[in-house]
Formats: sequence, structure tokens, C-alpha cells
Amino acid sequence: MNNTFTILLIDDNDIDLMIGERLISVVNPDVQVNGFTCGQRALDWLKDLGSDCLHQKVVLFIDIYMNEMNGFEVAHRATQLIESFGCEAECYLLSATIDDSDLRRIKNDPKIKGFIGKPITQDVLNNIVSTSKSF
Amino acid sequence: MINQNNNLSSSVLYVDDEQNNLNAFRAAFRRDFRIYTAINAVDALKQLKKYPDIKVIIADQRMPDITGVEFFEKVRFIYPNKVRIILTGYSDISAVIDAINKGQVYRFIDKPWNHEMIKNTVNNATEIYDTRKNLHDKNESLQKAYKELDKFVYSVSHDLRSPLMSILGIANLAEIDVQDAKALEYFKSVKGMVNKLDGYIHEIIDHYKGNHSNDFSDKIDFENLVNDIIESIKYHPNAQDVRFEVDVEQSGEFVSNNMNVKTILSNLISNAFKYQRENESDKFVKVVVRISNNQATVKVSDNGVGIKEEKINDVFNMFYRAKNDNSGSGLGLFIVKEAVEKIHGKIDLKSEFGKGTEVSLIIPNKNE
Repeated sequence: MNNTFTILLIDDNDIDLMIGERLISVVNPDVQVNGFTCGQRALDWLKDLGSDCLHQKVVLFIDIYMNEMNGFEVAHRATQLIESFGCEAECYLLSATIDDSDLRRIKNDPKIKGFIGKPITQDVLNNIVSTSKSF
Repeated sequence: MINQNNNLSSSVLYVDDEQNNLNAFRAAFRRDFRIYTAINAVDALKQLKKYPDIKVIIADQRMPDITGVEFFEKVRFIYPNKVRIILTGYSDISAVIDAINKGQVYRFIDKPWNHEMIKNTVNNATEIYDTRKNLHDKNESLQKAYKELDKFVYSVSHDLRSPLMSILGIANLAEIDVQDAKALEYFKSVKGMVNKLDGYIHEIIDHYKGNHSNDFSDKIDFENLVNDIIESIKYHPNAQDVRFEVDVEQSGEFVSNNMNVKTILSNLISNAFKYQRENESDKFVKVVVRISNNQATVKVSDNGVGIKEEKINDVFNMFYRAKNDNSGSGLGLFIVKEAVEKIHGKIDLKSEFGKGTEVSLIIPNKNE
């Protein structure tokens, strides 16, 4: 049984990307983190990789406010792509937002698993990783 | 049917199936109003579409294809703001009174009409139209301004918080990757300051949100609300050895403004746990809520530092800080006071220096 998964981290802020990558590698040293500063690059990467090189489960951490494509759009497109490979996608949106309407939108979106308020912390990641591993 | 004088403030559409009446009306009032006329309902609707400046519509009740009241039912649907007046003889009076009572018609004028009567009625109707339109326009621009302000406030708060949260994230990373004790201490101070600034941003946003919600239709579940608030501060480093006691009795429905109630409770509870005495072995924060049919009584008490008697009257002032230790913005209780006023509540603070503080709050139940 395969108990590991593919992780993508998408954030157009370099520092937040670095923080996320480092934290994930601390929490889960055996999983490689694939970081991207824009949604399109992440989608292209997924496309090129194809179904063979992805783990059965793909976990995505995506910043909401990004310049070209916002987090919701990236999450939807990536989910569609990943599901077309026969894999399972799990999207978490990240932001420093305190706008209730953003949070409501996430709650009502079946493609989004949850919201992570920035800064992303070890505790939050531990929770997600432990539930993802048990799958 | 073209108007004659563009300087007149009122424009009237007169609908009548007799051309003679139309001509007579035009001749009589061309110096008083801008006049449009129509020989039947279809023609009238065309005129209304073509001349949006029409403010008042006068229609004869007795027309062959449609009565004036029936015509107005349609007009009201498409042009709700135009003021509608019926011209009628006494024989039709009951239908017209009914229409006035239903709000379809502003007024009726008996036939045969008299000059002064029509002039006054149209002038009054115009005034009503202008006032309503003004109010409507103001309301609309106010709504638009609120929406823009909302967007602005949230985008500013996001843009302010983003770099702050990056700083916090790096400081968190340092705790993992840095060994040097001195450096760790510095990072801890950085985190403290960032959290303070972030708290300030939250307070300002809460204050803004409280000010802009005038809705009293939120059903409030105090048990959930209090537990959510405590949940959110429980993980704070200072909250580790504080005992939280929650005692909520709510059987019936409680209705008020959720945003304001939440702002008040979260400020009071977080103050209670923030101002603890360090050498106290049993630190506690106690929240008691009782709901009756007409009000909620909330008591938040602690055995913390308390407030000196001579300072009690100042605590609700903006930027007043009881403790000069950099831990608060001085906005908290000022925001509480504002929010209490918004929901028509009452707040009372009792405190003994070195012993603790008890805040009592009464919030009216707007369940009816």
C-alpha cells in the first residue's frame, strides 16, 4: 500500500513559499514539496508529469490572492486535471485574509478541503499530514 | 406631442381618450408644466418610454379599452416612481378609492377639473416625485460607497496582514532552525510585536464591521459563541494555566446583531485572560450567560490584576491603557462601549485592584 503522496505549494510570494516548503519538509521529511510561484506553472507541471508519476493522492496548498489566476481557479483546474489522471486531489487555500466572504466561499466550495490562515504552522501541517497518511 | 418649455420643473403625461380634452388640457397648462399627451394606454406607454423626464401621470378613469386604474396597475409595475393621478366623475368613485388605498394612485381629481386644483395637485405630486428620487439616488450612492469601502477595507487588511504573516512565519521557522539563544529571544520579541500589530488590525476591522451592520435579525447561540471565542484564545501562550469556566443557560431564541455581540464578548473574554496576576496559582476566567425572553445577562469575571478605583471611569475611553506594558492598543473597551450602544445594551464594570474584575452586560432580546 502506498502511504505517501504528492505535495504542491503554490504562492506568488517567495518568502511564504519558502516558509511553506521548509515547514512541510520538517513535518514530513520523506515527501518532496513542489513549490510554484504561479498557478499556471503548477498546472503545466502536472500536465507534463501525467498520471504515471503522481502519487494516488495529491495535496495542494494554494494562496488565494495571486496575480494571474486566483487560488480558487487554480484549485478547480488542478483538481480537474488530477482527477482526469484517476488520482485524488485535496486542496487547501492559504491567505492572510480576514474577509468573512472569502471564508464562506471556501466553506461552500466542495472542491476545497479547507482554509489555512497564514502563517502556516507546524501544528496545522501535522494535522493535515496525519489525516492524509491514514488514507 | 412635443413639450413647449424646457424650464418648467414638472412634466406631466395626460392620458384621455377624447382628443378635445387633451387639447384643452394642453392649452390650459402649457405655461405651468411640460406637457405630454396620449390618446390611449398604448400611446401612453410609448410616451413614457420616449420621455423619461415625465414625473406625473394623469389618466382619465373612463377609457374604452382600459380604465385609468387598470392602466396605472401596469404603469406602477414598470415605472414605480412616477406619481399617478386619476381624473374621474363621481360614478366611478369606489373603484378609485380602492386604488388609492392600495397605493396604486396618489390622488384623484373630480371632473370637470378646475385649473387651480390641477395645478396644486401636480405641484405636490412633483414635489413628492423629486423628494423620492433624491432619497433613492442618495440611498443608491450610499450603498455603492459602502460596498466600495468594504472592498477597500478588506483589501487593505489583507495587504497589511500579508507581510506581517510572512514575518511571523519566518520567526516560526527560526524557532525550528536557529539554535542561538540570544537570536531566539529576539525572534520571540519580533513575534510579540507582530501579534500586537495584527491584533490592532483585527480590532479596527471589527470596529468597522460593527459600525456598518444595523441588522437585528441574527439568532445567537451563546454557548457556541462563547466556546468559539475561548477556543480561539486557548492556544495563546499566556492562556495555558488559565481555567476557563463557562456557564450558559439558553432555552429560548435570542436575536440581536451577531457581529456586535461577538465583538463585545471576545474583547471582554480576552481582556479577562490577558490581565491575570502572574503569581496567582488558580487563574480563572468565568463567563455566565442567562437568557430570558426580553434580555441576555452576561457576566465575565476574573481574578486578575483589577483596575484602580480612580481609573475605572477611564477604561472605556479611546486609547486609554490601564497597563503600560505594550500589550494592548487601547481600543478594546472603547470598541466594546460602541458595540454595546449599537445593540442598545448596558455595560457595567466592577473591579478591585489586585483582586479581579467583573463586567456585567445586559443585551435586549430583539426576538419580536
